[in-house]
Formats: sequence, structure tokens, C-alpha cells
Amino acid sequence: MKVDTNIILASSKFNGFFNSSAVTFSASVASQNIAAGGYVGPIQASAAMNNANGIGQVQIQYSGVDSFWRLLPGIVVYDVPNANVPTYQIETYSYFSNGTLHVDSIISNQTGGTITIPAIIINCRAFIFNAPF
Amino acid sequence: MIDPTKLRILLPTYEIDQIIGIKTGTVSLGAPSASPGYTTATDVQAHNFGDSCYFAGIFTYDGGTTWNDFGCQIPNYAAPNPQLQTVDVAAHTDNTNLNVTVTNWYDLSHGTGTARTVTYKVYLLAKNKMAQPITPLASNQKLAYSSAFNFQKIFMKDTVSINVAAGATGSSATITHNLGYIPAIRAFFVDGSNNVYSLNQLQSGVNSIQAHLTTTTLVFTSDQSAFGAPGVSGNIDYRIYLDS
Repeated sequence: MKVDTNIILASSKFNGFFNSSAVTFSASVASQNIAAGGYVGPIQASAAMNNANGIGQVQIQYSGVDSFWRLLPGIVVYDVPNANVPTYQIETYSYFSNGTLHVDSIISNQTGGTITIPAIIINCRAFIFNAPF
Repeated sequence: MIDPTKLRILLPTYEIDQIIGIKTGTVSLGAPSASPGYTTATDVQAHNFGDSCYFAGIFTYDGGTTWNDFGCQIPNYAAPNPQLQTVDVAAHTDNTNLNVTVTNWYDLSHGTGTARTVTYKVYLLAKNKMAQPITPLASNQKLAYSSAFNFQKIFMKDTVSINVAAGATGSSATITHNLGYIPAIRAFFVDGSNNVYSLNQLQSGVNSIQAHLTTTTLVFTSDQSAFGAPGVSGNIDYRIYLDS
């Protein structure tokens, strides 16, 4: 039987995602110099989280760089500019392993000389939405 | 005669996501070698909705002990160097099929290639606007809405375009939600052929799009400065939830 999903707000025929758990955590990296071609990391943040049969979502913020919250899972790559010229790149990725959510970051120098990165706190918010698998 | 004082009907104020099907599958890939550096396969399963749809998926390659969302890769940090690309699962839907692509990367940092058997599970979700009424896929799971659970409630949903040329940076129009807190969101990229991609799986590809959230706004940006043609051009379907 065909149904028009555009006019149904919710019904006993359709399930959605419901909140299962949530956690916040962070990792810090001190201000430091990075030589040309060099990198810092992995900067590791983690929290115990059971994602069995759940769909995860992670949001991250690079406090000390800007105030935006960015969306994971997957990979976030941000080339931090200075006057529209890339200086350093932050790459952040998330994954589950052994009942733990990991959010790891690598900061790499994108210039031909030594740069100084600011102190950065990588703030993380994670959610598990239960799924009827 | 009907006594309206004795009627108790609960009507939801906000919409919820609508799961219209569940797909599972297994893909086996041989061990990759240093060249070309990966083995890959795409598993195609028909949904026959006559329109593409949103999706959310998880996968395992250790027999179900560890599950990860599409787009996540478990790194290998063993000495001497980290290997970030390991096993990558991405998907897209078109008007007929769910297409799940599994890539098994050669571990260049450690000089090894491993055969993998990847099992995945995918929810198919109705889009903000489906082109036509659809027949949900039959399932043995209990796909029943219940007020006993705290379902994600859709506060805002719409489509915004994004067009960023190769070699440039750009963004979509800014979406104002004014919730006063950072909400949960979902977003999907819809290309010119009505194919739907999960936003974050595009991070490692040419069509790199990021979501930037504040307590009042949402905007999608793309940095194509390091990439050649074609740039990114399409629409982003988004949902902003009341839930934070």
C-alpha cells in the first residue's frame, strides 16, 4: 500500500530515531611550534559509549580557533587561514572501538616555514540514536 | 452522538524522521596490494521507491563486535607511523537503488594488506519532500512509533543550494534557527541527478562540504581551493531538531 510521507507527521507505521545516550568530552593541545612539513598528533579525545545497534552523531568545536560546531561522523578537514592563506590544517575523525568513542585530530603545518599554533581545545558532543535493527 | 469531552487524541506537534525501509548486506574484499592501494566493491540493493531517499548506516568487519557509522575509519597507530585510511564505507541512493561502496585500503604505513568481510545495516528515510507516495519496505522489525520514546523532533527542514567553483571557497545561505543552543541536525547532499549522499562521507572527496553550527545559525561551507573541476554544485537537504 502506498503512503504519502509528505502529509504524515508521525504514525504507528513509521519509526524514527530516539535518543539513547549523549556525552561531552574534550582534548587539549598547547600552543607550540610546528616545523615545515611537520604535524602534531594524534590528539585523542574519547568517552565510553555503547553504540550497539545505534546511529551515532558527533559534533566538534575547535575552541581557540573559532566558535563553530562541525558535524561528524566521517572526517572534518579545516585549513585555518591567515589573511586567506592556509597556515595549518586540522583533520578530525571519529570512530568506535572496544565500547569507546574516539575523536582524534591531527594538526599539520601547511606552510614552508615554522608556524606557531594557538592553544586549542577540541570540544566534542556525541549522541547515540537507537535504531530498530 | 459523539461526546468530544471524552475523546483523547494525541497529535504530535513536530514531525519525526520516517524510516521507510531497512537494508542489510555483506561485502567481501580481497587483500589490497601496494598498487593500486585498495580493493573496492559496490553492493546495489533495489528499494524501488521511484525517488531517492535519505539514509543512515553502520558497518562491521570483525563479525559484529565493533560497529561504526558510515564514513568512520578505525586508524592503525602502531609504530612506526599512523595509518588513517583502513576500511571505508559510503553510500548513496538514487531513484531505484541503495548503493553501498566499501573500500579496503592497503596499509602503506605498515606494508600490509588484509582481506575483509564487511557487513552493513542501513535505514532508509523519507526525504523532506518525496516526489510521490511510496510503498515502505516490509520489515520484521517493529517499525512502530511510540510516545514512550524520546524521538528526535524536527524543528526546521528545508533545502539550500550550494555552488562552489573549483579552486574557490564558498558557502550556502545562512539558515537561522534561533534555538539558543546547539541542536542536533542531519544533512544530505542532493546532486543534479537526484542522488542523495550523506554529508560527511564527502569530506575525503572532491565535494568536501562542512556544516557550521552556532546557537542561532547553520551554514554549509566548502573549500575547493585545493581541488580541480568540477567543484561542488547541488542542494543540501537539512533537518534541525529540537533536541540538542
